[in-house]
Amino acid sequence: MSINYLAVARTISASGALTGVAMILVTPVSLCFREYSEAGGLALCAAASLLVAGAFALFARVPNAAPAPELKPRDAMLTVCVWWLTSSVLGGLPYIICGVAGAADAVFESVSGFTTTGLTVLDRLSDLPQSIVLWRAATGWMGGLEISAFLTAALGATMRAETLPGRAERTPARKRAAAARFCAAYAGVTLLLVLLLAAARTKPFDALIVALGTVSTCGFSGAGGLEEITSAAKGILSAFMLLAAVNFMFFRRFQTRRADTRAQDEELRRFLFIFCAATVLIGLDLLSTSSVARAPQNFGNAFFETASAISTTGFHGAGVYSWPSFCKISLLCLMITGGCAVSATGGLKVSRIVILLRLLQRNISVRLHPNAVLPVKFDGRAVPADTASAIAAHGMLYIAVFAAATLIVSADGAGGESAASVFGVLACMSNAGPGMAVLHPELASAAWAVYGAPVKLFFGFLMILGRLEFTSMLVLFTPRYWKND
Amino acid sequence: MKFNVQVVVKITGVIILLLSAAMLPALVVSLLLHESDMARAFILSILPQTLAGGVLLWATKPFSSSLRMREGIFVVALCWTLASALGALPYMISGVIPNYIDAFFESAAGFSTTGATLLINLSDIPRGLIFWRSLSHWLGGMGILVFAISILPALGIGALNIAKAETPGPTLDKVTTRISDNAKFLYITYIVFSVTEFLLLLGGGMNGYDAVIHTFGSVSTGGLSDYDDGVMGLSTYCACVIAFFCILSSINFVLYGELVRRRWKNFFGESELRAFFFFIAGSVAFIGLCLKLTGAYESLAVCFKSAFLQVSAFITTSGYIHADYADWPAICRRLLFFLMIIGGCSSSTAGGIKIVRVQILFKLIQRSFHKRLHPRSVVAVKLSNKPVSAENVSGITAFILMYLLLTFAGSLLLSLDGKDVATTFSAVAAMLSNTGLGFGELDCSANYMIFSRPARLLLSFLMIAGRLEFFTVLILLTPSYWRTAR
Repeated sequence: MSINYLAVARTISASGALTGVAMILVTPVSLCFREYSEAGGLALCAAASLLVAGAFALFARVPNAAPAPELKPRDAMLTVCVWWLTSSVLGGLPYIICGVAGAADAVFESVSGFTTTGLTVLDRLSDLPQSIVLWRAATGWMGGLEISAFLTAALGATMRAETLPGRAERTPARKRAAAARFCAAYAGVTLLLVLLLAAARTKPFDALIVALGTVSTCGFSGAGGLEEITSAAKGILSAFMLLAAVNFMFFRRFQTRRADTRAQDEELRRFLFIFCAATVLIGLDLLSTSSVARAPQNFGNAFFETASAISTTGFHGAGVYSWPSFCKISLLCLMITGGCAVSATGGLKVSRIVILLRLLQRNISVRLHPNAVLPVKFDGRAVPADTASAIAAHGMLYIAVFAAATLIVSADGAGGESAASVFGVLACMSNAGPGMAVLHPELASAAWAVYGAPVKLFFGFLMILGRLEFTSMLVLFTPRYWKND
Repeated sequence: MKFNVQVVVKITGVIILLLSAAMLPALVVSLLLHESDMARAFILSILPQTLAGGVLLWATKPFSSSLRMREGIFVVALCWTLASALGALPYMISGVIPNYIDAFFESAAGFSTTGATLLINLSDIPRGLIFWRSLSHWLGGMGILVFAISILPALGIGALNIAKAETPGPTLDKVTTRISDNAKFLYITYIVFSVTEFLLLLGGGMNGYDAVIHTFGSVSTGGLSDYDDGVMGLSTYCACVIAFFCILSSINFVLYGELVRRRWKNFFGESELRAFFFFIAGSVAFIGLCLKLTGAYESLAVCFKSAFLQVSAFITTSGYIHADYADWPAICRRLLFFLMIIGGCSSSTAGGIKIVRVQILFKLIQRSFHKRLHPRSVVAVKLSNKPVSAENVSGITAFILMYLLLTFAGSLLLSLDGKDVATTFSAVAAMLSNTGLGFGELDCSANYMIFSRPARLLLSFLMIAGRLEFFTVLILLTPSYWRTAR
């Protein structure tokens, strides 16, 4: 196959430019904190990123201003992967230059940010320079923005080939407009959350870090950003996590006031149902082991943890470590499920789960009524056979990747022995990140990352894999992709 | 569709009579070993059963109509439940397991060839009862062969003998003839295996009683041993015989017909069998090397011997503990766990997802990659160059989804018991794959005393559901099964 070098170069250039600009924006903050060496480091990294961007932009210049060839689905798969790789590598530079992490750790940290996973291998977060913490949170925020923009506008059609409701915009101009609108909304929501958190008596810097981690469903909360949080702030966070887990197409439709389609949004209904059911069940289970007087706290905690799990954000209070197994396994199921299709959340996505269950249901019905023709329906429409089989294959792929990954990570003697590695795999695949600490407390701290550099990078690979919904990236590893035809 | 109650009642009677007949050998063994209490318990279980079965048979008219799908599914589920329920009587009456739910768990573990147990000190248990326990494994193994090879395809559930000729669609009128046709050959093969293993174990210096117990435990892949330390103390020869027969009974029994007809190519060329051997050889080589490199055992021979024995115990879902695998490196333990979930070949006594389904799973993934690159292409899933029908593929997908769903749903329910997450998940997986071995608190033991009574009932249900390939049991739970009008 002829690789579309032009598209690849442009992707690297754009990604580098964006990362560089973000670094420049963080630099003044580090000056405010009087962290001059970090500011210098960030500026240096920004320069390096912009240099890379410029070099590739030069390479990608189209002579004679001819219109660029259209991006084929095949190229899109490659460029999406290249985008995340470029961001992750360049985004890791500040950690290295500021001397807080080695190369493998830095890449891990950066990938964890850009994929909105939120796991961290940085030791003693409270001793870290504030500017590094901010950069860490900013990568998460950018990751959330990028994946949402890709899904809603630019590459939606290719990335969601196997999914689902909500059509991506067709023409380039409208794509750009949709992306711009989305960016503005995303920034606006973040700002609103910061203000609300500040109003709920959170320290401004913590509010910023937590807000960046919430709207992107990244779940990075800095050093104890959640420890002194008021219950009002917890409520606000829950609401915003839920908003981030809703299909963005829904807001778009809400905005254009197409009431008829709004009523039909089955995924949203299922999502809310799962959320409410899980909250009630977890709340009840908590209640069964404590006094009735603690009911409000129990349900409040259940609400917060459920929202955090289903949006694959990963915020959690320290209390969950001692929760009963039922709550833990419920939260695990929620993290694997994830939010709605077009959102920054990870996991399998509610619509896929619903369709998988429908496939199962149909299989039972067909056995009872062998001659019946039973289409699988979603959102009131029949799901095409191709889509259904692609979703089934996606489920199978999830299992296969999980099995292979748990085996691979257990090869690392030190970390492989621990059950944390199994949940670490799930945390990366579903981009739930620190939320998996519910099942293994170690995952909340840097203590779980006792692995050697190769396994750490492998975890990073899993995160990108999860973020790009497996197939888009794994296809690149098949010989057929590179074959001429 | 009207439910044919007559036929169902009739078959219930037959099952009860068969079960009481099956207890006779156990009674004889108890008498021979002078265990009068045990003999009394068996007589007390046999008499009412014979009576009840006789009454049911007498009260219903002779077979008037054949079995249709609805009754077929019901009868199969009933068969295992009833066998477990009645097979529990000797445990309870003898006072070894006074609680009925516990006795039911023990009996279900027997008939589903799971091998989970609530008994702790096997040397204190009457030997007649242990014989009954292992006989229930053996009967369960035989039953599952008939079920998988004759009944399931007829019910349109199997989709298993894919490499073989296409099974005719879900026409039920042929059930009876098919059962009698295939079953004769199956019985013979199964009995030949049992007798051969028994003789080989006798030759290895085992006494007659122990040889029978181990034979029953391995050809049924139930995994029962009457020694306190299980099969760990056995000589290399005996352990290898047991492992060898576990593997033999995890091969598709239909294939042995090809062997008898001297069609070697059909036997050794079959893709599922090859994959099965590949899995075994690959895992043994890998685990053996791992053990050697980590220095778990001194000599290379011991490393590979332990690796082979333990791999055979897991992939055949017999669940024997040949070596203290809890001390093995994590990667070996996880590999063993996955082998247990995969299980043996289809139409064998082994449990698990079955090799052929795993093969299809990978083919499906492969196809989805292809489709991603060539969205408009039409590609069939192929196995040994023969296309697999879309119906079969969707059946297999549904099976795997069902497995996951039951794993998660079962774990959620079991977690109300308050065990830690790893124990909960591995217990459910061990039940669904009919292995009986767990991890976490269940490490290296198949003892389920740690769970509460309601949890044991749930586990029994999972064992039976796993043994009957889920759908047979779960269809009964759907409302549309019970809707009469159609």
